[in-house]
Amino acid sequence: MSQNTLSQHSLSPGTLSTPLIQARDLHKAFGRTEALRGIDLDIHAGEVVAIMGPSGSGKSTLLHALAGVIVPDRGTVTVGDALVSSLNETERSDLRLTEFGFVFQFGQLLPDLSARDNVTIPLLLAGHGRRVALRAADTQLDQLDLGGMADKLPSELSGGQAQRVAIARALVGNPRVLFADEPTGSLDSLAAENVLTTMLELVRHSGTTVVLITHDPRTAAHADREVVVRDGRISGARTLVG
Amino acid sequence: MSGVSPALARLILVDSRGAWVRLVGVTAGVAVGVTLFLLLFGAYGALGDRQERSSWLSVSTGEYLAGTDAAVTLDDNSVFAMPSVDRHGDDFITRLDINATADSTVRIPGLSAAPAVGEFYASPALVRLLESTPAAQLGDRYGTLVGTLPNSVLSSPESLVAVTGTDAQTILASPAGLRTSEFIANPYGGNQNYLFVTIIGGIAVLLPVLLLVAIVTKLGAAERRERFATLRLIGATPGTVTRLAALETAVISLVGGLLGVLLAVLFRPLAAMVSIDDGTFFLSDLRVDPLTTTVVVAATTAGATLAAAWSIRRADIGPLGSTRQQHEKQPRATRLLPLALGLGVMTITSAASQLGVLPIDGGAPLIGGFLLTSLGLIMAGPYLVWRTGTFLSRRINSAAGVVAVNRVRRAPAATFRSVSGLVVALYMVSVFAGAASTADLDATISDSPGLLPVTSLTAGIDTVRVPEPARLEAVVRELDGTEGVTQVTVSYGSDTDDIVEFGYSVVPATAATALGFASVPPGDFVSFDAYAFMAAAGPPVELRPVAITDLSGLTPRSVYVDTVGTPAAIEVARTVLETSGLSLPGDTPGTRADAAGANQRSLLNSYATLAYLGVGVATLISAVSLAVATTAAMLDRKRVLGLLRLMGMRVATLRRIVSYETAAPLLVIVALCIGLGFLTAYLILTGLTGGARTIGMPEGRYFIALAASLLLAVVAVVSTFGAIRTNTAISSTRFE
Repeated sequence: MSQNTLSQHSLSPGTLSTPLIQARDLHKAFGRTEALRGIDLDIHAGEVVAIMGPSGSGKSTLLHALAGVIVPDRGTVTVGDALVSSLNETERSDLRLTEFGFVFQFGQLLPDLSARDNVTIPLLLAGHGRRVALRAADTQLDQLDLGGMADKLPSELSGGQAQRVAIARALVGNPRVLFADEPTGSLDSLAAENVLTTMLELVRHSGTTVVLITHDPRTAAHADREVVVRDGRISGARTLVG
Repeated sequence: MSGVSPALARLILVDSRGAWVRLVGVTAGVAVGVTLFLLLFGAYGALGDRQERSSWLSVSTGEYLAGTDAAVTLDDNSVFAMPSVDRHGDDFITRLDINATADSTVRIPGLSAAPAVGEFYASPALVRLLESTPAAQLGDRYGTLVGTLPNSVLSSPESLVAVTGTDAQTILASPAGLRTSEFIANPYGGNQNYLFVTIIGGIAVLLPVLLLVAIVTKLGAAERRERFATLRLIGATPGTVTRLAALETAVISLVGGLLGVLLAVLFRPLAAMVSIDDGTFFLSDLRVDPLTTTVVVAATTAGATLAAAWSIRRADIGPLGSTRQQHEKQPRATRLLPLALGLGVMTITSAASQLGVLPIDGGAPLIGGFLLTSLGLIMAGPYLVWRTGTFLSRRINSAAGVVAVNRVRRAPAATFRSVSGLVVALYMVSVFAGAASTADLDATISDSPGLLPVTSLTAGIDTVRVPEPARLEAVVRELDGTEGVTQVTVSYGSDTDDIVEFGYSVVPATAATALGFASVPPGDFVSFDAYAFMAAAGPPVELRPVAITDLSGLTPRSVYVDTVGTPAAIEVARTVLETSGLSLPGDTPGTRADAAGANQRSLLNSYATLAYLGVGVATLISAVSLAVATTAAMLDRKRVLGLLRLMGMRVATLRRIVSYETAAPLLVIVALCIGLGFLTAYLILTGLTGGARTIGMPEGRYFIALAASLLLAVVAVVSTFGAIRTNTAISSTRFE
């Protein structure tokens, strides 16, 4: 079974005129700290967007709001046909499971599970059988040159390998959108370049939209577009390719 | 090597966020442990003390005088004494008949003077019983109550004791009668039953407590390691970190230990209400002396401190965190060895005992084998859990199952630790349920043709001082006229086989039906096996014809009194028989149930009750351990589980993970514990009795205890569900 059959996309694809992700007037505060102060952002299908900004600028909060992890205090997030900001917790969980993939800086693999089992988790959560999930996981690990590492535990992998396993897990369900928060932040420059290149190759091949948070200009340089967030507002944007 | 300043210790250990939860948890665990240990230790000492305190009633020094003539005289320095055991319903009454001169100098414990003939002193419990019982059923046996025995000479608050003034001739006629110049308490020589119960109680209660302490100390261990790693990064030496950890544990254990002493004092009245063997305890019996208390607190503190220091040393925390491999080693099959060895020792002892070739007393090897099996179960647990995980890992099909089973497989010791308290509790309750089930085999004495009816009681007639026929007839008439008595039959026998076989009793054929015989052979007189007639159960005794027309040449042997069967009727008849002077002094009339040794059953039952109580405490502690361990395991994976929720895993799936992680090892090991528990009970019983006793179907309360234990496990796990939602909430977890 091809991995493409594992996910049935329910969202409309989005076009150049209709963005896949639309954020309008997003506000979010944590206590007295206003993390987002009115953000408008459109991201089109297949686009790789790097969100940059200094620490505390609100870029991670923006990612969480776009992915339905948190609900904005004000404003709306639409992904395809879905008004994410109005969904309840269960609906947002289902949306994240079926439509989104996530990669973070560290600490994301279950320590008791082998690399292969870690990759199967999203598919098992989505209700696929174990055998199907294991086959898809092996295919995904092979695409990331991790075929020989499938039975290793996270503690037996290098930082770069562990990060590629996390990418495999994020992509195994063939998500519409990949949210990556400093995915190479814990790696040395060589491993970072390697992981990023592999990840982007795979997403460009599958047409997956990527929202990439980084404060490293070299990482951002791989994106199609760069958005800069400062003090909870978008302070600038530029197109890098095209 | 740098030292540890109080300011640093306070900053790192006390002022840290979350440290208080840990401090309170560990303190409570140590306090519960010390409390239970002190109560258990106190109870063990009390069992011996109270036995010694009341041992004067059995009069162990003096010269036996049975068969001597009336020329034996008393002076002021000696008394005649006759210890015996009377009964009222299911209660045993310790009776001491005394005859002393008016100016006797012999000191009777607890009394200023010996009772005069026809007077008696009673224990407070007997006084209460006498007050609530008509004199014809009990009080008439002893005479006039003239005083109360003090607690200082009694075993327990429920002790039924009568010290009675009796004429010299009656005492001299008894084989138990003796002349003594002092009543002394015998030094307590130890009791295997008490030791056995204490050891089992110790394991059942203290092991879960130790496990609770071990589990509680793991609470927040990950955050603690991070704190220590940060200290190492900024320059602290390994020694400083070890001393900090040791200091933390020393302070906590000391506070917990002192709290435990306080709790032991507070809970002493509750513990004193536990009934074992002779009854409940006097509050003062459970006191533990200050030196022992100090040693217990000091040893607990020292032990816990050393263990904490060793644990931190072993974790080898470096500037970048713990360098030791975080995953557990795969457990080896050699972990099964202690279990196999324990079972082996008990099996060999039991087999040798049943074959009659055991050269020593079976108690010691059986206790040893039992201890080894109990500890072996704890040792074997991680291996069995790992095996279970490995078996299930190929058969599961869900995300929750994959996460849970792999956790079980990769961390078998940690997983087992969370359920080990329950495992020990269930093993212990199964051992006791198995052992107690033997009592039920002969617990019911029912009517059966050819055996003395359950409504009857019998008294042996003194064959040395054979009562005159007129005296015998007078007693029979009195009994006949007693309310509740339906039939009085006197049986006769002979010391030779000339007229009737030795051991057989002769009764008129007309009385046979009232004695419960269904088929009566023709003739004026019939005979039967008097011994078999009193058996608890067995084949019906058959009547034999006797070729005699009168009772000449035979002597009266027993009086059988059939009653309407009410307890009152039986006790009235017993009182009349006891005061009739027909029997040997001190020979208590009894029913067939009395003769079947109901005292053995009540002893076993009191141990079983104690066991259920102990297991109840152990189960409660274990349930707390399970909840703490489940929470700790979840907190240690807070970041990853939170991430899974972010990926779209629902809270219900997380709950399933936690439930599976507990259920998988528990179900497998529970089945093993129950089987092992009953096997242990079988081996101990057959080993101690040479195969005379074996196990039967456990009583209903065992199944209730089993269900309650499993229900508590469910409650323990469910109680952590709230923490799962809170601690894996996406907003509470940072993933950058």
